[in-house]
Amino acid sequence: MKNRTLFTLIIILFSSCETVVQVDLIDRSNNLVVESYLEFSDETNSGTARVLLSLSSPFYDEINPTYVSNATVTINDTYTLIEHPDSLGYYVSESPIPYLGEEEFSLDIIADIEGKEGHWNAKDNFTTVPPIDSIYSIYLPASPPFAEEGYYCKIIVKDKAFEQNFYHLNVNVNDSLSFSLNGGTKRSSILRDDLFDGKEIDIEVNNDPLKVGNTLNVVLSSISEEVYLYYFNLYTLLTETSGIGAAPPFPLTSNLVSLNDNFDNALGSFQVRSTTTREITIEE
Amino acid sequence: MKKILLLLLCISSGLVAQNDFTISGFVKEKSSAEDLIGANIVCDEPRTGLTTNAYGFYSLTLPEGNYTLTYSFIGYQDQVIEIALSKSVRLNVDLEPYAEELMEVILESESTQQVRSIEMSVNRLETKAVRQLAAVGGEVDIIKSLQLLPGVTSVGEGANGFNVRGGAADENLVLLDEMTLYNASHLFGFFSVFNADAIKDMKLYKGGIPAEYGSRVSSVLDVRQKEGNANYTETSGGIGLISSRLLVEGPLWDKSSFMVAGRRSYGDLFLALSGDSTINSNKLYFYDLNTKLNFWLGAKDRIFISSYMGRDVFKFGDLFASSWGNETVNLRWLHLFSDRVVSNLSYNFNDYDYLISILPAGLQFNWESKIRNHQFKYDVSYFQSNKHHFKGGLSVNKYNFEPGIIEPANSNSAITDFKMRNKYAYENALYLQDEWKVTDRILIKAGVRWSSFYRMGTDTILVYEDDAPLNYNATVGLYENGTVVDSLFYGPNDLVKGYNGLEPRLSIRYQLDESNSIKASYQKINQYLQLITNASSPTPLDIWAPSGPFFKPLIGQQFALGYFHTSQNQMWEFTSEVYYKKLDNVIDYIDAPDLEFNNHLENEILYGEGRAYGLELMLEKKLGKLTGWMAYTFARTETLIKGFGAEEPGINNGLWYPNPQDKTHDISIVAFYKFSNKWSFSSNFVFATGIPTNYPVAKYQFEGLTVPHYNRSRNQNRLEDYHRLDFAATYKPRGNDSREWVFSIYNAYNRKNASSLYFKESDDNPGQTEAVQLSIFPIIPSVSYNFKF
Repeated sequence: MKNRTLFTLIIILFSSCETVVQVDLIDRSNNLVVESYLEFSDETNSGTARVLLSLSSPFYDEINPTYVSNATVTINDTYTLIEHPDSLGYYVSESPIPYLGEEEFSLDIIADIEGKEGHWNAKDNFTTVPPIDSIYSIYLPASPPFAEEGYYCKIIVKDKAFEQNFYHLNVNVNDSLSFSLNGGTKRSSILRDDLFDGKEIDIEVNNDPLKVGNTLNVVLSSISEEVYLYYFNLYTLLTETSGIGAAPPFPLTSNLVSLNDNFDNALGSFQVRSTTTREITIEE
Repeated sequence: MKKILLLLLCISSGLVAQNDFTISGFVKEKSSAEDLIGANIVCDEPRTGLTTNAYGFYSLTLPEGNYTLTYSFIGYQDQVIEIALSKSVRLNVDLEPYAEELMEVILESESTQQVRSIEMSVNRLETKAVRQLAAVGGEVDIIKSLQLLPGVTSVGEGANGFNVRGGAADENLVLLDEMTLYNASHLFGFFSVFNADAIKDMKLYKGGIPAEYGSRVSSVLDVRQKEGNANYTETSGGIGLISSRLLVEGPLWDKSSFMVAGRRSYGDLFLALSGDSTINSNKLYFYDLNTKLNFWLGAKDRIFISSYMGRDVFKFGDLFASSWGNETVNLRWLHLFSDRVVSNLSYNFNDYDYLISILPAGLQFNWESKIRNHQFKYDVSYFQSNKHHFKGGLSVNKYNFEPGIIEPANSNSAITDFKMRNKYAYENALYLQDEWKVTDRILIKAGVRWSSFYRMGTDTILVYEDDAPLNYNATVGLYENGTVVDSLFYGPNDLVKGYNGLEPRLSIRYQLDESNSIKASYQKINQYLQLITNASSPTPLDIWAPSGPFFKPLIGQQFALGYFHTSQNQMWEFTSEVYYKKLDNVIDYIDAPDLEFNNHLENEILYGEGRAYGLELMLEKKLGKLTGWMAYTFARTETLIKGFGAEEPGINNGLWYPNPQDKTHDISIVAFYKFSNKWSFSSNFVFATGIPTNYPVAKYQFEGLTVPHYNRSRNQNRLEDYHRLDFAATYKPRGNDSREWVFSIYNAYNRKNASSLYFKESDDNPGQTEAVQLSIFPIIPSVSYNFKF
C-alpha cells in the first residue's frame, strides 16, 4: 500500500517520460489459464459455477487468447460443467449447485492441449458473506489528484467479529466494471478485516464519479485467504513491480495443481465465493 | 575506560625515549578558525608525517633537535615552520587560502597523502568542487556527487540512498557529526539531506574501515558540519529553483563559535498561489536545519553541540498525507589529557519517524513509525610516538523500534487500533587499534572491534515446528508460513537473543618510493540492523528491523589490494584497487512477500550468502587550470539463496543471481576548467551498464487484465545502458566568493535513460502488449545564485 501510493506520487511529481521499447523475450507460453468461480448467492442458498479455460501466449502476440475446448470440468467430482455452445472454452453448471454445508470444494479439469492430456485439480474453502446493510450515494467535491467531483456510492456492511474475513468487491456501472487503476487497468477490489474486525464499515465503492441516471451494481463476496492473497499478489505484480527501484516481479502461483507430468500447474485461480448484491440508481 | 587508558600509558612508557618531545596542536583555517580535517604535517628530516584528525588535532613526537615542519592543506598556502625542539610544545597553526587569482587547484577527491597514507578505499570530495558540478534543478547534492567516484553507484536517478561496492543502501552507515541518519534523502531520494553550505568535510570509507566504525558492512559516510567562524560573523546562502539556503556563523566568546544553517524547498509556495482551493491546500516541501555550537573551555577542553532536523511533508487532497524526517542531536566533550592523549566523549540522540495518513472515506487511518536510539561513545587517541598512534574506545547504543502504530484518523473511520510489536535492543562495541610505522616504507594499521547485540523484551516470539518459520509447498510451488507450535513471552528487559563477534581490521601500506605505494586491507563487520524492503531502492517509509531469534546479523568481510601513484610534480595521481567481499546471512525475500503490518517477518525471509568483487581505476589531474578525473569500475555483486532439499527452489532456482545494484561497467569523466577569476566551467560524463531487471516469458488474460508471466529466475535481464553528459558554468561577478551565479545543464543531450521497464497492454492500441521504459530526468537547465557577506 505504501509503495503503491509512493509510486503514484512520484509519477505525479516528476516529469517522467514513458517510451515504448523493443526487447527480446524468451517464450514460455502455452500454460493453461483458468478463471473459475463457484458462487453461492445469499438469496438462493445455491450456487453456480463458471470456468473459462485459455492458454498463455507469447508476450508480444496480439491479445486474443486461445480457448481450450472439449475439456472435462467437474465440481466436487459430482457436478459436471458443460461448455457453453456460443463461447468456446467457457464452461458453466447446468443447474444450481445446492449448498449442503461443505467447508471445501474442489475443481477437476481434464483437457487435451496440443495432443497431450493434462489433468489439474484445485481446492478452495467456503466462507460466508455478511449482508450489505445499506447502499447510498453522496455528491462530493473534487479532491485532486485522486478524485473528481461527482456522485459516489457507499455501502454499509457489518464485519463478522472474532474471525478473519476477506472480501472481494465487484462494482459495475451501467453493466461495465467501474474500478480503475493507474489510469486504465480495470480491476475489482479486495479487503481484509485485520484493521476493522467486527466493525460496521461505511466505504466508498466507486473510484470514478457517477452521474445522475447511472446504475451501480455492487457484488460483495466473501473469499478465502488463499484467494485474497492471489488477488493481492496479482495487483502487486501489476502495480508495484515497475517504477523507480521497484520490487522484482514474480511468477503468480495458483491453486490449480497439475496431476501429471505433461504440464505445469495452471495459471489463474479457482474461487469459492458467497455473494451478496445491491444496486442503486443515482438520483439528483 | 580508565584501565584501558592506563594500559595504553603503561605500554607507551616503555616505548618512548626520555629525550623525545611532542609538538601538538590544532591546524585551522585562518580567516574562520575552522579546524582543518586531514591537513598534512610533514617533517623534512627524519622524513615523517601525519594528518590532523576529525578535530584538526595533531601530535608529533620527535627526539630533541632542529626540525623543519611543513603544514599543508589542499587549496591553502603551505606554512613552513622551523623549530628547535627541546621540550614539548603546543603549536597551533593557521593556514591561509590561496588568493583567488592563484587558486587553480579546485579539486581534491582523495587525500593528498594518497600515496603515503595508510588509508585506501576512501573517497573524499571538497564541497567547493561539489558546488561546481551540474545538479538536477541546481540543487547541490553531496551524495549524487560521490557517485562520480569509483565504487559508488545508485540503482537509478531518483533512487533513495547509494550503493558502495555492490552493497545495498542499508549497508551504509551515514554519520553527520557522529549522529546516525536513518534516511539521508529528501523527496524519495531525488535530493540528499546534506545542505552543502553547512558541511565542512566528508569522507566515504568503502573498505579498510577503521575499527572505530562498525554497524554497517559496506561503507561509512562520515560527514562533519562546520563549527562556525570564530573570528567574525558571516552570512552566506543561495537561491535555487528547488530550494533556498541561508547560513549564519560567527564568534561567541573567546574562541567559541556558532553555526546555523537552514534550507527549504518551495514547491508548496507556488501551489499556494493558485486560486483553486483543491490545489492550494496541497503541501509539498522539505526543510533542513543544521546547528552547531563550539565552545572552548580553556586550552584543553572543547564542547560541541550539534543538531540536525530535517523533514519532508506531503499532502495531496483529502486522501493522502505524509511526513518523515530525522531529528538528531550530538553533545561532545573533547579533552586533551596531554599533548599526546586526546579523548572524545559523546552522546547522540537520533530519532527517525514517519507518519502516513491514508484517508479513503470510511477507512481513514494514520500510520506512525519510529526508530530512536541513544548512544554513548568514548574514544581515546594516544599519539605514543611517530611510530605508534593508538586509539581505543567503546560505545553503547540503546534502540527503540516502533515499527507501526495504526489509529483511526477520525470518528467516522471503521479502522481499529493496531500496533505492531515494539522492539528493543542494545548494541555495544569495544575497539582498539594501532597505526604502527614499522619502517619508513611499511605502515600498518591493525585493530579489532568486539561488537555485541542484545534483543530485549518485552516481546513475544513464536516457536515453529522443526524450527522452520516457513515451509515450501512443492505442490503449488509456494513458500508458506511454518506451523506455530508455541509462543514465548519475554518480559521487560528479558534477553530475547544475543549476538557478538570479533571484527578484525588490518591495513598495510608498503611505500615503494616517494611516488608509489601498494596497500592492502581486510575488514570484518557485523551488521545488526537491516531495512525491511524487497525493493531495489528503499523508500523513506520502510522500517528498520533488528537482529533477533530469526533475523541473523549480516556479516561482511572484505579484502582489498591497491596500487597508488602520484607524479613527481603532484599533478597526476593514479589509483587502482581490486576488492572481494564475502557476505554471510544475506537475506532476501520470497516471491510476493507480505511486509506490511507483519509482526512475523521470519515468514517472508530466506537466508543465503553474497559476494561482490571488482576493479576500480582512477586517474586524476590535480593541478592546473584544467583538473578532473577519469574513473572506471568493473564490479559484480551477487547473491546465492538455496532451498533446503531438492524440491525447494530458494531464489532463482538456487543459483547465483545479480543483486539489483549490480552494474558491470561504470565510467565517470569529470573536468573542471578555470577560465578566469570570474568564469569557471565543469562537465561530467557518466556511463554505466543497465541495472538488472526481469522480462516476462509469456502473458495471459485474467478477469480482463493482461498479466505478464514471469519464471522463477531473478534479475537475469538488464535495462539499457545509462549515459549522461552535464555542463555547469560558475560566474563570480566580483572575482571572489562573495557573489556567484551557477548555470547548469543536466543531461545535456536529453538522453532518455531507463529508470525501469514494465510490460503492459498498450493504451493506444488495445489488444497489443508492449514494453515501456520509464525515464525520469530529461534535459534540465537551471540557475542558482549564491552569496556571502
